[in-house]
Amino acid sequence: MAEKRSRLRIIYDILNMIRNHNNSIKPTPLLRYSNLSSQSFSGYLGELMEKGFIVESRDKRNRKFLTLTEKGFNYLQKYKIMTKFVEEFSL
Amino acid sequence: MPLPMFLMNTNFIIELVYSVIIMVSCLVIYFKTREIYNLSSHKGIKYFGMAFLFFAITYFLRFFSKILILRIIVFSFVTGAIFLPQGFNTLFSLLVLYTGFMTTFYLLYSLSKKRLGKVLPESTDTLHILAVVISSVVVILNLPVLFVGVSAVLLLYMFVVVYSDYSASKTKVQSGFLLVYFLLILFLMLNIFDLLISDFFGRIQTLVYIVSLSLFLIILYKVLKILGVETNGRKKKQA
Repeated sequence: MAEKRSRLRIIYDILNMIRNHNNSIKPTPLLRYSNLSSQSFSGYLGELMEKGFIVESRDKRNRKFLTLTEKGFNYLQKYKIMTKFVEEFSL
Repeated sequence: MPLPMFLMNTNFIIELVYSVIIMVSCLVIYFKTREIYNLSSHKGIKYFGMAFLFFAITYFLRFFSKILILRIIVFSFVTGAIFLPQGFNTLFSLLVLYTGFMTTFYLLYSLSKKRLGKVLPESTDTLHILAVVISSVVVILNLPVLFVGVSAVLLLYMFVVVYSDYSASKTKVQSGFLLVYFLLILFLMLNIFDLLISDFFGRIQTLVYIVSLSLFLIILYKVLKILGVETNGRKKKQA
C-alpha cells in the first residue's frame, strides 16, 4: 500500500504539475493529475492562491488557466530543503 | 574591595559571553526557520522556531537576573547595607520561569505535532495560561519543588518521545538527535533552577555552561547546514 503523502508533498505535486505543463494548466486536468478528491483539491487550490503560489488567468475564449508565481517557483526550489529539515529535526 | 570587583568582572564577562552566544544562536535559528515556515506553513517548523525564540528570551532574562544579583552582592559589600529589590527579583524570576516553560512547551509541541496530529489544538493559548499559573505559584508561594516536579514530568514526556522514536527508527541516527532536545530542556531547567536556588551549580558551573553552549551550537550548525547561509534569499556564491 502506498504511503500517505504529506501536506508538503501534495503542494509540491500540484505546483510541479503546473510547472511541467509549461506553467499553464486548466483546473480539471490538474485535479485529475493531483490524485485528490475534488473537495480536498479545492481546499489546496484555495490555499495556494491565497498564499500567492499560483494565480488564475483567462485566455481569449475565457478559459481558466492556473500559473505559478515567483513564490510558487521558490517553493519548488526549496522543497527538498524543507523536507530535509523536517526529517532531520523529527518535526 | 578587590574581591567584589574580581567577582563582578569575571562573572559578568562569563555570563555575558555565555548569554550572548546562546541568544544569537537561538535568534539565528528562529529567523532561519521563519523563512521556511512562511513558505511551507508547516506547524512543526513554526513551533520549533518559537521554541528557540523563547530560548533566546529566557537566556536574556536570566542574564539580567544574574547581573542584578551580582550588583546586589557588590553593592552590599561596598556599602555594608543589605539592598534587596525584592520586587525586581520576583518579577525576573516569574518571567524567566514563564518563558522557560513556554520554551519547553513549544519544543514538545513541535515534536508532538507529527505524532499526535489533529489531537493537539491549533491555539497555544492554553499553554501560555498554564505557564503563567505554574510560574506564579512557584514564585509567589516560593515552591521550587513544584518547578522540579513539573520539569520532571516534561522531561519524562520528552524521554518517552525520544525512546519511542528510537525504537521505531530503522537508522537510529536521526532519533539520536532527539537526545539533543532532551539535553537542551534538561540544561534549561538547570539554568533556571540556578536562579531559584542561589549557587546551585557551585563548582560544576563551567561544565554546565560548556555543555549548554555545545548543545545550542550543535543545533545552530545543523540548521545552517541544511538551510544554508543565505543573503537576500539567495545562496552566497563562492568567489
